[in-house]
Amino acid sequence: MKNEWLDDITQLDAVQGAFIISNRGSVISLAGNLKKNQRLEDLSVRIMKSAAVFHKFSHSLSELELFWQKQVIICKVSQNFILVTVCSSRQILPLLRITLNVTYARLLEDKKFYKLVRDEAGDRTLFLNRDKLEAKETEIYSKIN
Amino acid sequence: MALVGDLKDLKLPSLIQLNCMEKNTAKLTIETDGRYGFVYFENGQVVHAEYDPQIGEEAVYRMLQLYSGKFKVESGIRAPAQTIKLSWNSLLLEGLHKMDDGEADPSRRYDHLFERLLTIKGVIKAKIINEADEIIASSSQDKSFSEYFYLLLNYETQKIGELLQLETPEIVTFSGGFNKFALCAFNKFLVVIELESKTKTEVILPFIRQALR
Repeated sequence: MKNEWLDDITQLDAVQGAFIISNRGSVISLAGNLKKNQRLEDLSVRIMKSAAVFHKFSHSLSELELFWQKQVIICKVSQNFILVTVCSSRQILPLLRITLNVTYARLLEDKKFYKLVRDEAGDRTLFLNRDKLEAKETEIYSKIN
Repeated sequence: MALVGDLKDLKLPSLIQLNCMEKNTAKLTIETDGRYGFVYFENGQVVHAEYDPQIGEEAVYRMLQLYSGKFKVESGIRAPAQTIKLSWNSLLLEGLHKMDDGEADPSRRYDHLFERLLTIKGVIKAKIINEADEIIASSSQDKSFSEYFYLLLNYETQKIGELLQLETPEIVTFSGGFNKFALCAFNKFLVVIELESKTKTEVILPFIRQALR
């Protein structure tokens, strides 16, 4: 797992970590203070499910941002992967956004990364299959259809 | 040359007052969500109004409840009919009284909230939904996404918060091939706000927080 793709992001103050999720929900690159553990995997699945909802209903999604008082998660969503950044300050967001755009563009052009993503290709809407949903999710999801 | 603007910046009572005090003969057109309303002035009096299906005074009263929309004032255009006999100041007073009375109506309970939200630069429209997928109140019609779609997204983001040992996010925004949208918890409800696509979440958040307070 190469993480130099994400170094520019994690070098910024207040960025706690960054990771890339494949369409299968696996963390294919991780940098910063985040640890690859069950919680991160669960977080990835939740983010992938959020993106899948858009995909399922033919709404393109490019950015998803979650703000808490002292925490921000910024997800840049591509067709084949999601770049997630966890940050503890809003002050750096303008700089972070620029850095994310640069990193995102580099990732799209990187052949090694492309190969990695291709090997992890999958249909993200599978995360909305009945066996992947909790009771509450199933209840809400069935009403959308 | 027509005067054009947004009701967010200049409210209808001010527009009526301005045209009447200037003794204008003019046509005021209001467009909100593809719906049009018209107010005609002759020599400084409001003489005719249309806001489908209302005509006359009722049309003005309905339009006074709008807090967003584009307007255009064209001078020299005469009314096709006279449907309003009240003087402009009586008409405005009666309209404002009706607005106050209307606040007891549950469907209009959130008018002030919408008014506060819609004066924030970058906010286009807003609506409040409950857990049962009912739109409790809406500043305008919006069929971009199903209400359950927002609820499912809200559920996922709540779970993300739990994983990080945090509460429900204060605001969640998403953008793509559409305008930007924001989801905010408001009491037991969810407020869905449509934003201009270039709006930065961190810039608008303090204003939204204040409006929801």
